[in-house]
Amino acid sequence: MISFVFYLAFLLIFVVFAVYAERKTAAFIQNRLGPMEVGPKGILQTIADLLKMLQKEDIRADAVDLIPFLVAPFIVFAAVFTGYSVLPINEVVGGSGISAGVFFLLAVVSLDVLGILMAGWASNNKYSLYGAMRSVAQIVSYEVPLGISVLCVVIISGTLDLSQMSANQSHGLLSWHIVNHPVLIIPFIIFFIASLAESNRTPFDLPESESELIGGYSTEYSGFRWGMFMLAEYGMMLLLSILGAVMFFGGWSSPIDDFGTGPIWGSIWLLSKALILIFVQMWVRWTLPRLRVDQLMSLSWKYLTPLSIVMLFICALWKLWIIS
Amino acid sequence: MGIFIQILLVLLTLLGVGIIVYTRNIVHAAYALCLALVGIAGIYVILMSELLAVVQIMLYAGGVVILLAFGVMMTNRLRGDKVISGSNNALIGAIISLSLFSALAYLISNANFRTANIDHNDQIREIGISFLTEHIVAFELIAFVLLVALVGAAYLAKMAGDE
Repeated sequence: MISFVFYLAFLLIFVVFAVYAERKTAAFIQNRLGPMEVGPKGILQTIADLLKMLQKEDIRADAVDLIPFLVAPFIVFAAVFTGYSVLPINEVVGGSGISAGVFFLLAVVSLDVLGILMAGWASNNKYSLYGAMRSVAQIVSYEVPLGISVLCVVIISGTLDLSQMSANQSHGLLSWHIVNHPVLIIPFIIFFIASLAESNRTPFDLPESESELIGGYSTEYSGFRWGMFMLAEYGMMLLLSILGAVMFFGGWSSPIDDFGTGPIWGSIWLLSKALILIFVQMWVRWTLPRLRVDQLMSLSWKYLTPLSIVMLFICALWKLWIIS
Repeated sequence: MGIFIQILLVLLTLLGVGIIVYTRNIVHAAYALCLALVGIAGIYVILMSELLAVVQIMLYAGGVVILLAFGVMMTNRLRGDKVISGSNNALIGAIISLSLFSALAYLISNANFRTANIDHNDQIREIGISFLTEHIVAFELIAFVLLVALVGAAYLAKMAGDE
């Protein structure tokens, strides 16, 4: 329960700064300054944007399918946020004690597809529907390599519980999964690529590509409901980054054996690892161009899925011969 | 507390099922099916069967319903029909569903359910071990059936592509 409240507050603050960080990162990569006007170095820009967004009219076109149209943003956000319930914060405050752990997380997060489909269909707009169709095809396809790469970690660590998984890696840098079991490096790369696709980020942002689909499934939304979609996108990024930090980079454990232990340090370590992963996501977004639909599908089904199945086999052999 | 949540989940499931039966819009029916399935998954959680709940959400709510909704939407856009459902063959339907209901009710009320002693913190491990020891034949059989279905689906897709 504590972790749930903590993550809700953290997510809301995170989104404000992440939007600013995203714009600044983009600006520096493209050799310009980015937002500079509001506040010192433009740091209050997102707060100004947020206030503007909340005051906007909640526009509902005449031909929308009203109830699904109104409910869809909340389903997307609820599905993503339910995933946070199993994440640990530090060694004292774990997540929900459900024994299915990370499996539960992947299952509930996959429900956000339904919200996206609902939004695209209910908008009664061909661009929205194309966006939703692309998004569903993409998320359903990339769930396969994502799930299998998570399974590789589960095989190695022998538990589905994320708190237990972090506790197994709490003896400094050398006990982290990715260092202790180098066989997990390729599953991490697969996980990272799939997590970009799951949160609809460039190079996989086809569902909302502005130049082709004017925003995809969120085209007809405005004001607060549009904000919910943005919140869910950033929430998904943060969720999968924290999951990556827990599964591959030791969760709340410090890189140096005895330095910086305890609950407060634990949460600082976990969140800073996750934020570094988010920075890499932003970096990728502003460096790589968008994929075509057929390239997107062939990347998932012809490369990532077979590779992840091979890695699953190798991880099982590693578990059999090296660990035990 | 538990009983209130349970009642809430039952009402949620009934609401979902009610919408499926009474709505004329097939897309709405697909959404409502998802609501009903999530409600049932919640009841599984209350009954301490977490794995079943997660599998229910992942396979049915997250997989089958999405494909269903996807299929309905594609069909509508391709053929240009209105997606509405009607009621045909009411008498035969009523007879079939009543007999199915009474058969199931009879079997379930006379069934002799055993309670398994499973440690709730480690139920996935125990279920996994029993799959690979006690129920290995059933497990392998299901895997084989799924493989056949997969190969069949790929073959059908190939045939459709050739034409």
